[in-house]
Amino acid sequence: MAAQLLAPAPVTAKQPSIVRVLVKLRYQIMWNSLRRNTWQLVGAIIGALYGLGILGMALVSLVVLGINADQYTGVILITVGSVLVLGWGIVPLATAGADRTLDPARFATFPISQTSLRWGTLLAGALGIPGIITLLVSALTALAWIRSPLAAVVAVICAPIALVTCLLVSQLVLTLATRLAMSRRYREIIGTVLLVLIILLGPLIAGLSGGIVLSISLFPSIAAVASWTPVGAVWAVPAAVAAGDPLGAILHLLVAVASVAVVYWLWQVAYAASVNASATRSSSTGRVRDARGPFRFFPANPAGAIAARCLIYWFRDPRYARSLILVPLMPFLFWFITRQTEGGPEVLAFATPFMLLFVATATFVDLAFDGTAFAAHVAHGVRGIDDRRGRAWAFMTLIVPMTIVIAVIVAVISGGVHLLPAVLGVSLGMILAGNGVSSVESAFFLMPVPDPADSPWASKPGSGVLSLAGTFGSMGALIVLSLPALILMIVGAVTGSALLIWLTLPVGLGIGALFYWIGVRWGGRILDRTAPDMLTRLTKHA
Amino acid sequence: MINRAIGVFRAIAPATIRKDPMTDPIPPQGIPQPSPQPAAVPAQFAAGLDTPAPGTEAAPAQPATVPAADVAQATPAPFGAQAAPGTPAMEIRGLAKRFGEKIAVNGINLTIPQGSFYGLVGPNGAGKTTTLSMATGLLRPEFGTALIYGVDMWENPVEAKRLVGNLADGVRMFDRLTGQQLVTYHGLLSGLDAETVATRTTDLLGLLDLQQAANTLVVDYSAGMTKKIALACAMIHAPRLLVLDEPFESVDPVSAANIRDILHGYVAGGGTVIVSSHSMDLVERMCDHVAVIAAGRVVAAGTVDEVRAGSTLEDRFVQLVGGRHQQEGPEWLRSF
Repeated sequence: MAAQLLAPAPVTAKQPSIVRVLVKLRYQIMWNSLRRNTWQLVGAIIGALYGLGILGMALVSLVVLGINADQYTGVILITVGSVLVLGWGIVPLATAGADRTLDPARFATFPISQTSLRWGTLLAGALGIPGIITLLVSALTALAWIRSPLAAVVAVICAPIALVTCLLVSQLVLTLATRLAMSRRYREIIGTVLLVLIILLGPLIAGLSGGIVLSISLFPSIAAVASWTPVGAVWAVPAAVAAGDPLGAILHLLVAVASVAVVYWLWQVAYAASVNASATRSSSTGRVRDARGPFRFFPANPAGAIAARCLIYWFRDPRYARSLILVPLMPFLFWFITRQTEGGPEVLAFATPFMLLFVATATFVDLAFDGTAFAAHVAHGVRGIDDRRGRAWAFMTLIVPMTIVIAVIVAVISGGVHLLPAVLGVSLGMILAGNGVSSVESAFFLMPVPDPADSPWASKPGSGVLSLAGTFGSMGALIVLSLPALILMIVGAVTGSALLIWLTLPVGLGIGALFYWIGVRWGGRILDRTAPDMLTRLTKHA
Repeated sequence: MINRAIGVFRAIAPATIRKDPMTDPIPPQGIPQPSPQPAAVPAQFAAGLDTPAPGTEAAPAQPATVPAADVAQATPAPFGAQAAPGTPAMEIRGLAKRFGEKIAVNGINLTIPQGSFYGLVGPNGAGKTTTLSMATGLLRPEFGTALIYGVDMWENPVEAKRLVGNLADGVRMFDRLTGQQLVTYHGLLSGLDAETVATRTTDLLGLLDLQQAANTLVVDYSAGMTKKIALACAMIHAPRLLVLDEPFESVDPVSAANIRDILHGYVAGGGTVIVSSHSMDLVERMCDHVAVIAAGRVVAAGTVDEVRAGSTLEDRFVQLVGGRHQQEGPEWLRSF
């Protein structure tokens, strides 16, 4: 390698396309990091298999759709296609994130134009598993149009446009999100938005529950609207052809192509701004007013110090904030999901525990977030139990008040105040047990996480499946541990027995406290044994 | 410094090891060593970690008495009771580690006497950082032991770590804290009480000219300031041994001179310092002992005068390590 680099550069030879070099670089880096980390490799393979599964399912569905073609084929394809495009924008934000190998900041010193970098990023995205699957599925929509050969051909031709739309939407959203996350203002905005959402939650639920009803009859009008928007236009082209509407097809095509151009232009602007932002990133943070900050509030011992430090990180490290975004949204989401089913306040009482299911084990990524800074704990010989406790305290300082506020608001709005003791018992118990679970799990399981300096939405190859495994592992354990209190709450809610409802409070708290007590000790003991090895693994991740 | 890819840690049974080609006997060192080595290296390899280290059990265990004493003045020097005279501040026996196929450290023996200012030099990738990481409890060695004032780092880590202040190279810090918070954090982690931490933090920040930046996030520090704050974190618990990996990298000359003064004061007060560095001049001027490490082995160790043997340390280093070549670089680099 070095010899190759030092060999006289073939200046006269045909220059390799920079875009090709960039794409190759991305795959070289991915391959190297997969080779270094077996679990990431396993994750990548499972991810690929999952992609194949989706492809197979899509194939079957499209064939069935083609055989039973009727006037709804277009509606279905436009709706699902729009969801696909939106998914490309939203999923990376909500889950694993996106590959940042070709982050413009890394190429600041190279004489490479932003255009080349942008094309490299796009092409690398197109050649990833999701890109390939999207392209294939888009082309396979031809199967659904098989009764109208012309529409089938048009569908195949439109597939690349669909893929480019997906890629551009995804890149635009990520570039904007990263830009926001890097700035201090973002944290303030997020904080404000969270507050407003909590306040608005009540009126929102009340208003929406009396309002629209989402039903199958709405789909045609949703599709009709979507077909004139950037997310749906490209899917409407073959539909219009099949319907024998050439003018409509051309107009939809124009909208689709114009959308690509506009989104590309927007992305270009956002991208240029993010390059400038990353060049000046270091001077953006500034000084802090209070000298000691949270160190004042916690006891002056190792566990207290760790709690104070973690609390600072919950506010200052955007990667932490990501897991809290769900908190105010979850009850609303839950209401939306259960909207279709029968049931009043009894059902809504589950909103808070449902939210905690996703949030209560948040500390199990803490250690991975530390990265090699964890060396400080190892070098000082911090006891595992202090490490575990500190992280749990910081998180509980945040989540307990939030949970109580949300539980009370939901109870008041849904008219389920009489259920509140049970809801609080289950919820607080879940927080305690969740910290116990994550104390144990994070002592041996390292989540693949973005680097602190990176965007909170950066991901590592093959990390998606690993993250899911870790998340579901902790969720499963949490459900099992919370089951006694949950059952008690359900029985109490169904029978309306005030005794059972009130009994849930001490039972939930008691069981939670017990599992917290066990988890912190058990996890601490594991960490005492494995701390240097965890550090080695963190070094490898970095 | 190279952020070395640390390979999968493989717990290897001694039986496996004996068959391993890596355990090629290492020739006894024909180099001046400050003290007689307790055992031949291959024996250490085969024996693994659990071998009782001959001769050290006699060393009194004392770390419990280690100073909660206040650092009142400029030098963080007071060290409570001295260790039994003769117990080395650090004794490394047969430390070995490999990362995947690459042998990073291949049976290193070193004795760092109390009160010495010990330099560790070696070419890039020689194993300095790996050795120091193993000796300070950050990286589990495959073989060998490290004793801090007679306390085994891997048998009794909590006690041993209390004696060591560590500035590690190539690890992150909790840089979302302010300088003052970071030093406070390290102080509290080592179990000091709030008042002591507050006093010492103020002292250290003053000592290292960081008062101005006390309330700035460490992530916004320059490279040199980051080194200095890391040094403060290493010293806050008044350790008896400071292990500093590349402490002068990217530190400006004035700060470097100030740090040297602090370290000399610390040694004069009875502390022991180990620094790794690439700067031969610096080591020659600053240290009284030096060890040269190359390819995971000690190739020379002793007092600076012994090692340089009449020559300059740099010449002697090049002579020991080799690898100098006279050439002007490739043609294309000279014609534009």
